[in-house]
Amino acid sequence: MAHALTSPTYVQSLRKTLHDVMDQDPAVVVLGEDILDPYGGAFKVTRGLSTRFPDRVLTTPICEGTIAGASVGLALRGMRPVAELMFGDFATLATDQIINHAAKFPAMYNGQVTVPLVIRMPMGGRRGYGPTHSQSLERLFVGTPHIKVVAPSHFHDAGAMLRAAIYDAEPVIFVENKVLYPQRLRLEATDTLISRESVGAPDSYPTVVLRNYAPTEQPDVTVIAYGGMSYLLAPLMARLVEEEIRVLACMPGCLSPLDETPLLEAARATGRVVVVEENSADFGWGAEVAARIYGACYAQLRAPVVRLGAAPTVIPAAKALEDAALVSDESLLSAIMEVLS
Amino acid sequence: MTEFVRVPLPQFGANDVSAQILEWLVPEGAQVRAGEALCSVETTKSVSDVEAPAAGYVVTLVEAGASADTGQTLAVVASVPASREDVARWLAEQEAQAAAAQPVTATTGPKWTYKAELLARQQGVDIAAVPASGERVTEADVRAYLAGRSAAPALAHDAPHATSDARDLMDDRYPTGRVRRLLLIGGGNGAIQVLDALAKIPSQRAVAIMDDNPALAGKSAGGVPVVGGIDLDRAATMHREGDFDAAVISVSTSIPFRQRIYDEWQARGIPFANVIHPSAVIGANVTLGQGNLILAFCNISACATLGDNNFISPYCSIEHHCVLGSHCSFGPAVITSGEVHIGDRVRFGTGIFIEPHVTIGQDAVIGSGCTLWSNVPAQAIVKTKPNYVIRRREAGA
Repeated sequence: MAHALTSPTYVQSLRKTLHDVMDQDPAVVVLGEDILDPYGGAFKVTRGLSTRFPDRVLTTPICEGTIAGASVGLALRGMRPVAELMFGDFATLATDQIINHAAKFPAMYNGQVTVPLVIRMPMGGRRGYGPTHSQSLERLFVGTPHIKVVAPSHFHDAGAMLRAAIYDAEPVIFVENKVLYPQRLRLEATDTLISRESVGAPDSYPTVVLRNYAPTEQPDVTVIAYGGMSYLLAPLMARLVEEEIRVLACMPGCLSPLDETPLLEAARATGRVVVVEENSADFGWGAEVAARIYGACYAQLRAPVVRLGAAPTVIPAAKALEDAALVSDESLLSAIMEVLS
Repeated sequence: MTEFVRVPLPQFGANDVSAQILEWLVPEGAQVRAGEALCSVETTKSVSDVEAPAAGYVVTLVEAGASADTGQTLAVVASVPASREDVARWLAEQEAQAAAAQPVTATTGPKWTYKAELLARQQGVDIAAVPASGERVTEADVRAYLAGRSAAPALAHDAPHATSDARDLMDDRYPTGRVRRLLLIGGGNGAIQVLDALAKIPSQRAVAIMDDNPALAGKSAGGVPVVGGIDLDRAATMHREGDFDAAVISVSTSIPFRQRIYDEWQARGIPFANVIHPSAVIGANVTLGQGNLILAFCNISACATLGDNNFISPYCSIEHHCVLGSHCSFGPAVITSGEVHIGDRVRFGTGIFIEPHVTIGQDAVIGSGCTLWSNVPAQAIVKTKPNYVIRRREAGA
C-alpha cells in the first residue's frame, strides 16, 4: 500500500517533532543519557539534534533523579525541557522528582509556577532485554493527580502527540513502546482491512477507534488497549476478518487522566469487553477501565469484562520465556473468544 | 548438485536492526572452512566478525562499507565454485518455493469460521452438520440452517432470536445475583407503568413482553420486544433456557386473569418478581410475597404483610400491621389506617379511606371515593352514593 511506504515510522515521527520544535522554540531543551551524536540515543529518537542545537541538547550522567530534577528546575524557570530516560524501567529513580515535585509545585506555590515538563520513557518488552529493561512502569504514574500519562500507539500521530505534550501546562509522562519504533504510522482512515477513526482531543491526545468491519455491521467484541498493544492488535484484527469476528478496538492516547466517554461508548456497542495491557493485569490500568465500565454500563454488559496482561512475574530475558510471560496474539485471541462464548 | 548455504547478518545486540560491513576478510570466490571469519561488521556498540556457517566457496552479496539489515543475506557459501548469477538464480528459486508454499498452509484451517462456531455452540447446533455455501461454514450458513430448523413447532421460541432487538434472549446468560431479567405478561397500559418503574430500577430489567393481541406481535415497548401471545409452554422453555429470570403480570383490570396466570405459571415453576418503584417506601418488618407491583409514591408501613400478585397503583398507603391477601388490585390513592385486614382478590377504585381495624372479606369490590368505617363482608360491592343531597337550603338564606 502506498501509504505504508510513505508514512514515517514511529521513531521518525518523534524525531521530526523534536527537530521542528527545537528549531521553532528556543525554550525547548532536550536532556538525557547518551543522546549526543553520533550515538543519538539508545533508540535514535534524538539523533541529529545535538549537531543542530549543540547548546540545547544536554548529555547527562547515568542518574535519572538528576535528569528529572534538572528538568523540573528548567521548567520552573520558563524552559520546556524534554527529558529522555534511556529505559522507562529507571523511572523508579526519578519518581520522587516527578510525583513529589513536578506534579505538586503549581499547587504548593499557589498557582504562581507551572512545570511544563515532558519525560519520555521507552517501555515494554519483546526485545530480550530482561527483567530491568522490559517493563511497562507507566503503571506507577497512572492515577497520580496533575500528571498526564500519554502513550501513542502506531495508529496515533506520535509526533503530534509529543508536540502537544511539550506544550502541555502539566508534566507529561510520554510512554514509547520499544516495539513500535520501527513501525510505520498508520494514520489513514482505511486500508484493506482496518478502518481508523480519531475521536476527541484532536490537538492533544485523541482516542483511536479501529474497526475490522464495515460501518453498517454490528461489532461483536470491544477491545480496549493502549500504546504497544497496537503491535499485536493490528495483525490480529486483520486475521479475524476471515473468522467473521468483528472487533471494535479503542485506544486512548492519554491513559491518565482518562477520557472514558469513547471507551464507554465502545463497551456499550457490544456489551463484551476485553481490556488488554502489556503490564500484568492485577491492580492495573485495565482494572480501572473495567471498574468504570461496570459503573456506567453494568446493565448493558453481556459478559464479565475480561482483563488481560502479562504474567505477574519478572520478565525473562530468554525469548521463549519472555514470549510466554507477555500477552501474545494467541492469548489475546483466547480472551476475545472467552468473552464471546 | 551444488549446495548453497546463506550467510545472514546476525543480531549482535538486542538494540540492533542493522550493521555496517567494514571489510571482507576473504577474497571473492575464496574457499573457506566452516567457522572461518568472512567479514567484520560494526554495530552501534562493537565490531564483530561474521563466520562461515559451512565449508565451501564464498560468493559475496553486499559490498564493504555498505549497511545491511539484521537477517539480510550477506553472502552465500557454495559447495563448488559458483558465480553471482548462479547464486541469484538459486535465491530466486528459494523465494518462488517459499511463495508457493504459503497458500497451502493457509487453507488447512478449520472448515468453519470462529463466528459460525460460536453461534452454533450457543444454539446447540452441531457445526459439522451445517452445510457450507462457500469454502468454509459462515455465520450466515448457521443462521440459514437455524431458520430451516425453526419451522418446526417445538423450536418456535427461536423466532425472536432472529431480530437484533431481542439479542438479550439469544445469548445472555447472567449469573444469578446480577440484573434480573423479567418477562412481562400483558403489553397494555399496565405494561407501560411497569416499564417506567423498571427503567428506574437498576437491579431489574424487562427483556420480553407476551400479549395475546396479534396487532402487537413484532412490535416493542420501550425497546422491549413483544415476542408473541401469552404461551405458558413457550415461557417455560424460555425460562429453562435462561432467557428470563422471573415473570410479572402487568394487567391490572382483570383479577380473574391475574390469578389464573399466576397460579398456572407458578405451578410450572416460573418465579414471579416484585417490582417496587424506587420512590415507594417500604417500612421495617414488611413481609412481601412475590409478583407484587408497587408503583410510585406508595407507602407500605412497618410490620405490614402482603401476599402475592397484588397490583398497587401510585399513592397507595398500606399502614402498619395491615394484612393484605393476594391478587388484589388497587386504584391510585387507596389509604388504609393501621391493622386493616384485606382478603384475596379485593378490588379497589380510586381515592378510598379505610379506618383502623376494618376487615374486608375476599372478592369484595370497593368503589372510588368510599370511606370505610366498619367491616365489609366477602363478595360485597360497596359504593358511595354519588352526589347525595342532604337537604335544600331555604331560598334567600
